[in-house]
Parts: sequence; C-alpha cells; structure tokens
Amino acid sequence: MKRPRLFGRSVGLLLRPRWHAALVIASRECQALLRAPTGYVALVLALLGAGWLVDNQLEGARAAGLLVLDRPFQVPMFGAILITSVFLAVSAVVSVARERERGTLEVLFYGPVDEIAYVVGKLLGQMAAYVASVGVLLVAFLLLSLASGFILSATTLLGLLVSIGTAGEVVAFGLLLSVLAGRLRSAVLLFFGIATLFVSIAVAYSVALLVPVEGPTSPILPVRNALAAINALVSWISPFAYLERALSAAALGAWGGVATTLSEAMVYTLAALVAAAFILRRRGVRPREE
Amino acid sequence: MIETRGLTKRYGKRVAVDGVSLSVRSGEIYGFLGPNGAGKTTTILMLLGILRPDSGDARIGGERVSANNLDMRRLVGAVSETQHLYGDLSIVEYLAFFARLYRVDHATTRIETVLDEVGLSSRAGDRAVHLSRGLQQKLGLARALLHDPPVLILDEPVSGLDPHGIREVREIIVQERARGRCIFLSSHVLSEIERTADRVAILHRGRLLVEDATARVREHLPGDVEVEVQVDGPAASWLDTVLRVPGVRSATAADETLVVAMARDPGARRALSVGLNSAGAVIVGMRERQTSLEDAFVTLTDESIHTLVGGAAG
Repeated sequence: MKRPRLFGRSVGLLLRPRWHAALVIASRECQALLRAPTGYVALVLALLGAGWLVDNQLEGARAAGLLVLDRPFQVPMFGAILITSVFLAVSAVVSVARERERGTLEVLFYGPVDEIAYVVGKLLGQMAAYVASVGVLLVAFLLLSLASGFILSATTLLGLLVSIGTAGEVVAFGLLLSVLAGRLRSAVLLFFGIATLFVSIAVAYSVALLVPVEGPTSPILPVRNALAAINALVSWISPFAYLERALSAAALGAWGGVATTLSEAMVYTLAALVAAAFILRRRGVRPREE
Repeated sequence: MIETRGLTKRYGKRVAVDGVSLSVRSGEIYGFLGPNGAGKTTTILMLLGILRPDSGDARIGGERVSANNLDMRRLVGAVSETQHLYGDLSIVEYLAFFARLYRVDHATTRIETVLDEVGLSSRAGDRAVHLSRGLQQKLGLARALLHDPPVLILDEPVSGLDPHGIREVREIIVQERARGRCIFLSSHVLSEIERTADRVAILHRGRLLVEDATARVREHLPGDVEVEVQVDGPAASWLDTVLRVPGVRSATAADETLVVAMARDPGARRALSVGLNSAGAVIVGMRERQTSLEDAFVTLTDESIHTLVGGAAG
C-alpha cells in the first residue's frame, strides 16, 4: 500500500519529529509555568474571589431568610474559572513574544523544531498547567463545600471539566496575538486593548437594550441592531464567549449545547494555531532589531 | 558536508546574499569572513533552515536544507554570538531539555561528557544565566555538541571574550576538528581564523570574493608584493640597479636591507635577483613580506568596493 505523502516525504515521517518536539516543548512550558509565581497568584485571586462570592451568597440567603440555595457554588466556580482563564490567555500572549525577545526562540529553531511543533507544544504545555489549576480549584471547592455545608452539585463540577475543553482556544487566541504583536509589550497591550473592546461592545449592547424604544422610527433601533450584529461577531471571535456559552450550557445540563460549543472551540483552536504557525513562519523567529 | 549552490536572499530590493556557492568538508575548519552587513548571518540562517533562500539551495550531509526537514537539523549544532538562556534552568537542566529535544541516547552520560569537554563540570548545578559571558559561550558549545552532530556552525563564538576565554574556545574548536567534525566558523576576530581555519571564504556585499586555503588567500591579493633583500654591504648603493629591474615599482634602502615593491610575479623576482647579481651585489637573503589575513581581508574588501564603485561609475 502506498503511504500518503506531503512535501515529498511520507506523512508519518513529517509528523513523528514534530510530535516529539511538541511534547518536549509542552513539558518545558508547563514546567516554566509551574515554577513561576504568577500562576499561583492567579489561583489565589481566583480562590479569594470564589470565597468572597460564596460568603456573599451566604449573607444574601441569611438576609432573605432562605433555608435552601440552588447550586451555591455555580457563580463562584464560574468566577474562579474566568480569572484562571484570563491568566491563561495572558500567559499565552506573553509566551511567544517573550521567547522571541530573549532570543531563546531562535536557539530552539536551530534544533528539530518548526513553527507547527512550537505552537502545538506551547498549547499543550499551557493546557497541562491549566489542568493542574483545575485540580487545585476542585480540591479547594471540595474543602469549601465541607466547610460551608453547601452541596457541590455535579453540574458545577462538570462545568469545571468543561472549561478544560475551552482552555485550548483561550491559549490559541493568546498565541495568535503573541505572534502577531512580535514584541512583549505590544502583545500585552494588544490583548488588553482587544479585551477592553470586547467588554465595551457587550456593555454598550446591554445599555442599548435598556434604552426605551419609542416607535418603529426610534433612532435607538439601528444602533441597537448594529450593536447586536457586532456583539454576535464578537461571540465568535472572543474565546471567553465560548467559555461562557459552554459553562452556561453545562449549568443548565444542556449537554448537546456543551458538545456543540466544545466542537466549535476545537475548530477555533485549530484555525488559530494554523494562523499562528503561518504568521510565525512569515515573521521569523529572530528578535526584532531596535 | 556543507554544500551551497547559488544561494541568494533578497530583502526587498536589497540583495543580502548573492549567489553564494561554497563547500565545506568533514574534519576541516572553514573560516567565514566578511565585514558587518556582508551577509554572513543571513547565509548561516539559510544553512540552518531558519531563512528560506529566494534561489539556490543548501545541503548538509547530502540532505537538502528546508524548514520542513527537521531530521536534517539533527546533523547540525549551532552556536550564536550571544547565548540566549532560560532564567529558571540550571546548566544541567538546560542541557537535559535540549537532550530530550534532540533525542539524545543516554542523556545523563552525554551531558557529563560534554560538560567535561568544555570545562563546566564543576558548575553543573549553577543557574545558566548567572555564568560569565565566556562560560555562557562554552555552555552554548556544550549544547551544540550534545547530540554529537557531524557539523558545527559557529557564529562569532569568541566575540566579547577575554584572551583566556578565546584560547579555551579555540582549543575546543580545534579538538572538535580532530574528531572529524566539519566546522563552519564565522568570526570578526581574523587572528583567530588565521590560527584555526584550514580554508577561508571572504564574503562582501553578499558575494563570495575568495574561497581558498588560509595560507593561499594572500595570493588572491591584487597589485604589488614587497620583497626584502639583504645584501652584503650598504644597501643604498644598489638602489639605482634595483629600480632599473623590469617589474620593480619602487625601492627603499636601510643598512643592508632593500625593500622592493614589485609585481606579484615569480619572473619579476627572478629578474631582481639576476639584476643584482650581474651588478656585483652579494645577496645574503631574499624573502617576501608576509601579508596577514587581516591585511588580505581589508585589501580584498576595499578592492571589491572600488570595483563596485568603478563599475557603477562606468
């Protein structure tokens, strides 16, 4: 049987060294993330935020005289996942730009590494670090459940697992911004600029929905429609929108919706990785001259 | 071991490397010289598969260099002018990472061996970024040697090192040549190239001006050669005789030595000898003044500029 070929070589021969390089880079990336204090700071922030939300819910229940709370860990868990995911995105945004700026990227490419192996390695490494964070969150919420007497529902726990599925596109989005920006400072600025833009669009849309519409000729209508269209577009571009959709579907137990969102997230991840590898090849791996 | 044919790279309208064809054999040190901006680093990046040539090709160990041929990169160990290290890794961890990347068998033993070879065994546990520049350079060499590649590509490996550091790195390079490695050595330190390289190539404005054995590069120099002639008695009395010899451009005399500028032609030297002998001079010794590689480099690259300017003017 004839073996499939690409670039004049068998596909197996093309994939094998790349996969090996990707795994070595992933292990190095994960090790570097676990050694750096920033990840732990993000986890502490996530847990403090979650603790504060649980405390607020307890206070609220007490004030309202409620004896039963439905899924009390739902919102705190979402908050913790969001904080950890934002850290994950920032960490991905920083990673390639920093390596290029320090020159370590060029040294890596002296060896059996190419752009595909590199971005896949980065993705796997960051995801492995995220899985470790999820483990810590899980243990922390179990302890919180024991301490507070609140029940940790299965859907809340599954939401945590579902976030692993969307973590890939959060990282891929960060990697894409990182290769696009080139320099570390511009990569971070680009990320926060885009994040601010996305949040502003969502806020503007929410405000537009609150403005009363006086008749079919109201000037607010076209503004609202335009914002709705932009918001819909953002929901396809922003990786956090996929995370939000997946977590909302998990909270409702809509597993079909979860599966659809995770599939879309996988396609997003793949497309962003291919784009990142392509841009990296075009821009090169050398540090930019001042 | 390294073979390039018509290697060309353009950045917009500027031609950085212009049809470079060279070959480097196993067991030799190939000095790659050129002024700043000559295209040395661009050539090296094309040899490493990091830059794609616009035309021409490069082969290492018979395998065509390309960004997709990752196995080919295992044939090469490369060291750049500055070592870019990971802040959180010790020397051993740094080498262990690259050993995994290159799939080095018996990595622990191999790391010990290369650390011993470059004299870093006693610092194995130190953070790599805390090493002095010279030791970082040695660590770069250790990394490049880790997977035992047949080809070493070294870009300015002694740049910024003190004399001790230069000597130590030189000893490592010479030792690796003795092991049969093909060493492609780019450097600004011409005295280093003169001491170590078997052959040199001079690149200027992207073009290869000369490729020859180090000792023979001066033969490519255009213009006159200076010959010192020692005679018995005051040299000044033979000045007129010397100036009448065909091919002699100028001459000076001091004590018993004549310094004669003449055409780079063995016949001219014979004519000088015959002329002096016929006039009754007793020649005690005659030798050509040796041009250093630095002089040859400066002359050849200056000549190239003049040719280019002349060509443009014409």
